[in-house]
Amino acid sequence: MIELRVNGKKHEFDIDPSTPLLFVLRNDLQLNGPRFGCGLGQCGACTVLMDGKALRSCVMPVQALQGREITTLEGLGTPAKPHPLQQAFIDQQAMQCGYCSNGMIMTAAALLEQLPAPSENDINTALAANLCRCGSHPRVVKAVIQASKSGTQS
Amino acid sequence: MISTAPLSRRTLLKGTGALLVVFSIDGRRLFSNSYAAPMSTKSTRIGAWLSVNSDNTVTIFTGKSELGQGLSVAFSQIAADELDFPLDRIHIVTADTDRTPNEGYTYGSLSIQRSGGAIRNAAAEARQALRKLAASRWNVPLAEVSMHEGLLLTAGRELSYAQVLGDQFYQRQVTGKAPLKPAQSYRYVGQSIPRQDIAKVVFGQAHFIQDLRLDNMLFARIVRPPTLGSRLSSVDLAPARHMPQVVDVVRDGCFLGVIALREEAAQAAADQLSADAHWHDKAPVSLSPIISEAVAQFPHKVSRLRERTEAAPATDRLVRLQIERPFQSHASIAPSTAVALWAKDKWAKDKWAKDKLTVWSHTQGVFPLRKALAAVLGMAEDKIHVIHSPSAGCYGHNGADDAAFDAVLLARATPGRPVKLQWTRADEFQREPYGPAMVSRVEATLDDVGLISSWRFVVTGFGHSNRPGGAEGNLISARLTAKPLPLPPPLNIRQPAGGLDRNAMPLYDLPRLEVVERFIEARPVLTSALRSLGAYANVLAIESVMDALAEVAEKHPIDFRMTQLSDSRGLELLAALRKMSDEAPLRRGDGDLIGRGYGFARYKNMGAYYAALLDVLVDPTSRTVSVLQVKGIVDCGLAINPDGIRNQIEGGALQALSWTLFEEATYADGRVSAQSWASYPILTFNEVPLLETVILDRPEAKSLGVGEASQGPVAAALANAIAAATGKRPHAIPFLEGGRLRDS
Repeated sequence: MIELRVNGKKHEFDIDPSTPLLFVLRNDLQLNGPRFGCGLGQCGACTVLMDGKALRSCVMPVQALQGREITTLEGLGTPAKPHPLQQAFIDQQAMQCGYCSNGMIMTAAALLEQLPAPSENDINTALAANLCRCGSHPRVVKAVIQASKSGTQS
Repeated sequence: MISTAPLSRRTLLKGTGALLVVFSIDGRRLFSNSYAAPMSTKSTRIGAWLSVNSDNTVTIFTGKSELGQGLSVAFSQIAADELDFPLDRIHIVTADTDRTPNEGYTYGSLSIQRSGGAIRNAAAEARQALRKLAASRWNVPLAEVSMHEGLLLTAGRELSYAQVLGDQFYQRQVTGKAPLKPAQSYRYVGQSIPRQDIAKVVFGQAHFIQDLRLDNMLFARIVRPPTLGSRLSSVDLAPARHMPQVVDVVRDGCFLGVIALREEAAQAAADQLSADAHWHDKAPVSLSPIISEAVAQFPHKVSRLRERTEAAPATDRLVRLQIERPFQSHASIAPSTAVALWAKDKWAKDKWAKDKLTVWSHTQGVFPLRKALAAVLGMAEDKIHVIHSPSAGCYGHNGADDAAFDAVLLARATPGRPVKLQWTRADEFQREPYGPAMVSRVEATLDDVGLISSWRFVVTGFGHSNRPGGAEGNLISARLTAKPLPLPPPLNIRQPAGGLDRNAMPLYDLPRLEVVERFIEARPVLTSALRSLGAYANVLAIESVMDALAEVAEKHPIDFRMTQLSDSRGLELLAALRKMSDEAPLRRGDGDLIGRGYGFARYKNMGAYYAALLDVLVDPTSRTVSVLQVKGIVDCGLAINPDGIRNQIEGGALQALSWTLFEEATYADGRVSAQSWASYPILTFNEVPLLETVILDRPEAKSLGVGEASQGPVAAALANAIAAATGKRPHAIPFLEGGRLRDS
């Protein structure tokens, strides 16, 4: 049995321990946040937080995550209590198709934990391996800056 | 997409009040160039644009799809203004063959113009109908009835739209004669109203096709042929079939796939099946990576778009340039996905009625896809229901339709259970139709007062449009099954829109003009529409030569363009760009290879105008390129949603920078070079310049789409900036190789 802690709740799964975390989150827990973009860890669409650090869930076997705290986009904030990044992405209309947005928000959340007042350069470096095809990059940066100014939740 | 009950006569006659505005029987004549299909008198489905509902909401039905371009909010704004109705009570139903009008494809940057125009007319029709009902109810002249935010008003009295409808059902046809509101009265149109789907996405609410979770749904993967021309010699289905959680392994001729209870099981089974399949390719395709060589290998069909009677003056100064554009990928962030369900049609009177097929797809055209599926399956179209569900941006014709048919073939093995098929990243890069290779060549002469005295433009390349609607053999798997269809010939989209020759005709007024298209009918590799089609490379070629000629003429590049143009909107745009450029001159340090370039075009010579300046810094030793800023001006007529416009223009600019700096796919031994993001890198955060877009709003002019307006001009501005910085003009895309500027 694989035990995972996701968004503050404990779950047990009777599955192959090599199953990618992404499939468990999406298909067993019906979460929509983390997304399948490449399955190769190259694009970042699948990003979740593990103990506050950004993790690409498509290449992580669930076995490696036993006993760790996993946070997905759904756990970051809700419409009732949005995370500053979520609010900022809405305020800045920081997406076009929105498929990469999960990766952007989760990676930025990890960045803000480490660096509460990042420069544009810091943000570009942190997000350099998150791919966006629609060209929403400038708005994403503006959203991260807005979120950093409005303060992050712990 | 908000789901309301399907609007069939059956539902409506249940007695809920409503006002339905439908397209006229002769819909084609009403909106010039409209795709609105004529209503069938035998159909039990009502072709509606707009429904005013008894619960005080309004539903808009559009045949166009939300691709991430912000269509839904724009349509809501148009309807809210024309109908005097609160924006937040308007719902949009998009692209659904059971519920929306047939508007063909969401392409060509035409949605605002066509669907938006139809919605506006339908809303105006509804407004007039409601006023007449109220006037009649109150027994007052029509002129004494006004409307505001969902209320009908006359002296001392008011009624909501729902109240005036009561429990009656009304239907009106769009006549095109209902008075339209003037632009000055708009409260929503012209505002940057926020999109509703953004909040859904940031909170992880279900939005994309990948979020569809249906009862008893299964997961599937295909096993694609390893090369373009591979046929299956032999395959052992048994090992994959016996793997855990596998429900079935499907083979139909050379088509292979697996269906499983769990997604990772489907992937593992597909990997196993791939290992147990043996393929052969009689003649694996290889094309020269040098595009001029690649296109020269094939015969082409010549179309003379403009012929000249006089030769170019022999003594005038000659400028020649050839732009080579390689095959380029749509490179959607999500691999193509579809869900298919074969089930008994519960409405069928005949218990032996054929199965009903439901397909969820991110296709750009639900009706053409339905037509293609019906043709290849030998089914009646009304037995197939295609529902658009968004995926990541497609930027044209990518693998969406092919994945839909793959899902359909797989789901046949599990009737009554929906099958979700997702392509892998390798499937997406290896299987999608690419933006085609092409060569755009210009020869222009300059007379002794610095004006162009002749212009010859020749564009050579592969087809830009090979969609399955009406040509179902374009579905890859239709050519793999046991009864394979032949590969259809490529479609050559004619002027004025053009495909390969899109924007080959210059907007400038040029003497001794000759424009020739050389269309390659062979299809050694799979190509189809990629955002802006031929306009990207053709505008790059035209605008590069304009700058080169300006240099010879010793005139400012913008001033030079203005001497060659009479189009008044274009002139105004260029003058504004000149002012923008002068107000922010390029700062040059000692030894800096820094330059500014310009680009200008009117998309399709009928669409939106866009002009941009671009500043670039080239490192003289490492030859790395930094784009510092791109500042542009767009004229798209009446601006519906300025923020949406900026998103499309700037997003399109960044995509064009990515194409032009980095992107190419080559073909060797039947395989395309791109397999993952490692072998097809695209622009990242580190390469993003400062972007600024000014909107030149023209409330009196028709609204024009902007999704494809910036690609050509930005690519040209980049080429011209590099030429200004280094003295050498880049002409082979991508401009960089291994991160460094190529030697010209």
